[in-house]
Amino acid sequence: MEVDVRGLSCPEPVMQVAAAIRSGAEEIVVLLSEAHSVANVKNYAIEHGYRVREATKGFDYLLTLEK
Amino acid sequence: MKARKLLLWGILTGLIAAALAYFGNPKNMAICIACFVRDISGSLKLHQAAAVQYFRPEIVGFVLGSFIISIAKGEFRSTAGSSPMIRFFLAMAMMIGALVFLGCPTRMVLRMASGEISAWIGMIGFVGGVATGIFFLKKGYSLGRSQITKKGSGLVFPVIFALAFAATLVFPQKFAFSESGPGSFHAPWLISLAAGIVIGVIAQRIRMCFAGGVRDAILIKNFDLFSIVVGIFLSMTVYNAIQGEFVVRMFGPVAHAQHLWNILGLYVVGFSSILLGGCPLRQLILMGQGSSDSGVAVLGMLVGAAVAHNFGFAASPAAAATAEAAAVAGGPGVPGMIAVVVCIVFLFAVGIHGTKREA
Repeated sequence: MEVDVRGLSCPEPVMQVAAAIRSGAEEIVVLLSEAHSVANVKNYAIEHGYRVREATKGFDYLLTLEK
Repeated sequence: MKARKLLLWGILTGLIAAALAYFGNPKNMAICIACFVRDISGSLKLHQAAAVQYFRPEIVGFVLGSFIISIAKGEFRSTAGSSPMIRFFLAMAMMIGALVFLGCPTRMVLRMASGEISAWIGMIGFVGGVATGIFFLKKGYSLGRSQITKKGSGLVFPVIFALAFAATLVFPQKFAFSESGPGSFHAPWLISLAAGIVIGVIAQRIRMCFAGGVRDAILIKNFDLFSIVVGIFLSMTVYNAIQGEFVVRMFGPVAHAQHLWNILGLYVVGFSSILLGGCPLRQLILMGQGSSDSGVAVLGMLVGAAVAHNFGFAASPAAAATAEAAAVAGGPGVPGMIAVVVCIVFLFAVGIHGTKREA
């Protein structure tokens, strides 16, 4: 599942990722544009039992969340 | 970051605020964002309230601190385009609400830490406003996405803001400076600026946000940001106790105990902070890291402060009776009361509009 939260204000990025997690997805790829959202999403995913891989893509950040 | 670590950062921020009060800032304002933006608005002669005019170096420092650290960490992003005009008016409303309560969430916490019951009662409104904002977030509220823009768009406000501050040092006669009242109380400018930069750096790193603290606690049961607020509260309470300034009372200096209007004023602040994605402090920090949308919000705060004073929306402080004068109840006048109600209606309109899906 892919979630694009680029350019969204807090706390929309975390809320969208939370919805993806609630849907039970095993792997979620999150595309973000702000460093503070990266920290928020990462913390939330780890708290919910996901492993997080971090990468950058041009100006953007890419988080891969795996159960 | 773990909540305990964030608590320590909050305590450190509180200590810096206490140091500023010690060096001359108004005691129960210390680093109030709304008060200080209002003072800058006055210094630029956007309003004529003689007691609250001073180009507060702390505010410049917050922006510069965030600016410097975000560039150093590669987090500076020049962005814009998430409904800037709505953000402008949301920030105006936020400022009007703050000036009816006489303080932003930062000062609410500082006043709570000095034993002011009126601030504790006002907090009910702040939490209520945040909760109302969350209601709309859950319904899908969004102001839309911001986009990457030309670098200059993110650079221009922090740079010109710093230059404007430099101009107050070189050409002080061109700006207004209070000779009495809260605006005349300030730490030496170099201390203020340095403290502001340090807090700006800390706030950018730990995402300090007063509204966000309450929001995350309610919305996702995450107490990280809230623990920062607790840290600031703790160090200011200890400082006040040591200085003999912790006194349980209805209100302290430059405050009033018109509970309904304290609650409604802070309701506007809490609600608008959530719709904006951050409290007044957070807007300054986001502007420093390149957000033109937050830059527009800061302009809205400056104009909101001017409007609040020019049209008599701002509350007047209460005063106990003295040998020369009778007691003053303080609080907002009728124009201020009407303004608060209009702001609440506007915030609901924005909330409803923000939940509508657009192509």
